[in-house]
Amino acid sequence: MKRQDFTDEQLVGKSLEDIDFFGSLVERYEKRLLNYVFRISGFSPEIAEEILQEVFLKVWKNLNDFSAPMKFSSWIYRITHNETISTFRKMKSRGEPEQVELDENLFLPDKSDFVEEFDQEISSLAIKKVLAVLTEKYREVLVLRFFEDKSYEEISDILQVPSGTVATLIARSKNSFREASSRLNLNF
Amino acid sequence: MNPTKISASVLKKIKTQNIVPKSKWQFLFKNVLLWILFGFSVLLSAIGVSVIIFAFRETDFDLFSYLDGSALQRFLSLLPIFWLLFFAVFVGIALIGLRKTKRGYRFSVSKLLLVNMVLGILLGTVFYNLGGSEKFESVFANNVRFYRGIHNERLRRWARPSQGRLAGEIIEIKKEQIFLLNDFDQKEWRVDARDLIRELPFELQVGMKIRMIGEEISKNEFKAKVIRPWRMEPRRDLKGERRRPEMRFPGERPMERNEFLKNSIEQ
Repeated sequence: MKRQDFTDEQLVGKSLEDIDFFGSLVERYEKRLLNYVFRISGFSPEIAEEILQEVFLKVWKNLNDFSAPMKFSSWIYRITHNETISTFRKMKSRGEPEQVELDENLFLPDKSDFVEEFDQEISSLAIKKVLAVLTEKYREVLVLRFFEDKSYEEISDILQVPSGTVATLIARSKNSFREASSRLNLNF
Repeated sequence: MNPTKISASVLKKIKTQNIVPKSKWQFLFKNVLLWILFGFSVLLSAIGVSVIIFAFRETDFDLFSYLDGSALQRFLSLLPIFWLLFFAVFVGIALIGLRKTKRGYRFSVSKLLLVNMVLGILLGTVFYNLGGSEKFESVFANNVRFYRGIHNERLRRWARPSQGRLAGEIIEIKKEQIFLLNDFDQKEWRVDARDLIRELPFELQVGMKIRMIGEEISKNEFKAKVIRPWRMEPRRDLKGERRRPEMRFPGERPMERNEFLKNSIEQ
């Protein structure tokens, strides 16, 4: 059986016996998580990579804390989310805004989902602009739902909130997104 | 740094600094501690509930109009505020403990709050019915300095004859409805109970501990309008048998079990 055929949970078990398996886990997630950090924070690539390194070290140190039935992907997204928010707040308190202009392609969600939800054709540039003005919690939940394609249960595990709250948050985020787009005169 | 470099850099750091994953026991221990905190808090909140039930059963809500102060002051004086706060604090700690467990975040605060309150109330009712509430209260009154003040003040409320409230132990029945009584400070009073406005629900006996609302006639004479037993409810002991409640005045030593049984038999 090749390493790429192992499930995340199998790789976690193997990693505790052989660190090289942990390397496979890191490779599997680094690109996805890097994009996630960019999308929710707008940080420069340097800072996003530093965050990610810290995330993988935390994952390694706390590997024994991971257990089913939670999905490994939810667990690692949670650690990434917490680390990003923590860095964001530290920088904000030090007065060091480190947000940069990001590649528009990062804001290309699953079109069909977005069109279905908002009943509109939306350009990635417009999405990026609107997301930038949303509050942290609304941006996070929209990114997880429409860009990372996470289920309600997964979002509940990542943000550590009840599933019912996820539904409410998504509904409010969509309203907030609509309001912000009309405020910015962005016609999709 | 591109993604593959991140992977290489992370693995290099782990290997060179010899970073090892934390032990499984460490996480297990933390989770067990949280569950213990939750269980302990539910237990304490239940103790709070049992004393609240006890306090409400003992409160003379029907004598509301005879108390001093404004309506709000009178209402607050009847509430077992310390125990209500005690209950709220431990329900809160139990909630925090439960929320911090591994899957605690999956439940809403309102659901967890409801579960904790229901658990506390159910367990507290069991404690009350087993007769634990008086014991818990006396443990607090004897060992917690802050609570001793509150407890004694509640008792002292019944040692204010000039304000129309007096409590003590009947030491002699002179003739029907006139008797002698020793108050908290062992001062002797002659009590006239011929003009009661509420019918006496029990027969007065020597040794009985009572509280009264009425009027101070002179330095050692009191005219009673309402007489109540010191403790309202005959309680059950741990074997489920009904018994007369133990009554202690401030500073009085607790009655030993044998002494209590002897008194019960004599009565």
